[in-house]
Amino acid sequence: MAVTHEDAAAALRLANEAGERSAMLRGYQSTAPHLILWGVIYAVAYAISYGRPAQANIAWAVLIVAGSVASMVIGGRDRSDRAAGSKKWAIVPALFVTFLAFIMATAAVMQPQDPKQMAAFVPLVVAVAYIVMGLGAGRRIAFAGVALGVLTLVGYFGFPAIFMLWMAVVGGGTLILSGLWLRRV
Amino acid sequence: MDAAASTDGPDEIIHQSLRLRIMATLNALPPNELMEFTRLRAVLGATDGNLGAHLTTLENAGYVRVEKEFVARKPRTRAGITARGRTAFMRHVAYLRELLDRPAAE
Repeated sequence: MAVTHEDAAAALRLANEAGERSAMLRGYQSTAPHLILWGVIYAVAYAISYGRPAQANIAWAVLIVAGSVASMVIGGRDRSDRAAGSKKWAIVPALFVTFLAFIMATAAVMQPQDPKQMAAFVPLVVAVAYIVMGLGAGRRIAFAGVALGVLTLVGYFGFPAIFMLWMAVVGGGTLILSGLWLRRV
Repeated sequence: MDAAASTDGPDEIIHQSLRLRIMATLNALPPNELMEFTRLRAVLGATDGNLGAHLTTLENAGYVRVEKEFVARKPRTRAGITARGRTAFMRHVAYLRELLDRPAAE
């Protein structure tokens, strides 16, 4: 079989495009359950913050720990983590600890006066994380981050009286819908 | 070593464009992971018959494994790349790259 330069270039282009698309879709599949999980956690935790603010702190603590454990289980079941025999699964708890430390350090330095400030800050950081991740892993993840960030700001500045309820419905809903959107690809 | 997987030339089984794209798509998955036929069909924009025929060719070459099962009483077909297939694909891609690196007049 004679393969010309043009044939080789075209074949490599086809192979690269197919491989990149496959990897991107694989990334969407891996990310989707995490988005849905954290969307549900956001919805429940913000709803408690709105309806029962006295129980908000304990509810957030319990839900964050439960969500982190669930994320680790989901990550552990992900074939890409198991198949390579790598330590990739360890990234999830490491990221979680880093994220938590960053939030706590920021709160200590900035001394927010209103619970809404932290309630907006955390999803904004999450939104940035999704945008950064999406730039490499696929634009749908970046879109989810943009939507979460924009809607958080809209709720914070536009509807401060019902901000917690806004985040429960809109913030949690954005993550859940984004996860379903990724899964449909 | 069989002719299809020779290092001296292109892999004649993989070089066909849809089979190349099938192999590239499955090669991007982690080892032992399978992709559903319907998803593969959508990713590649192929028809049932065309994709099925090329998967059979790749399966017969030992490059791809196809698993058929019933899930909730519905048939499900999944395909994944084998270790042999991964090696052949990488070798074919290396051949193409090497060809591109050669002077055009050669």
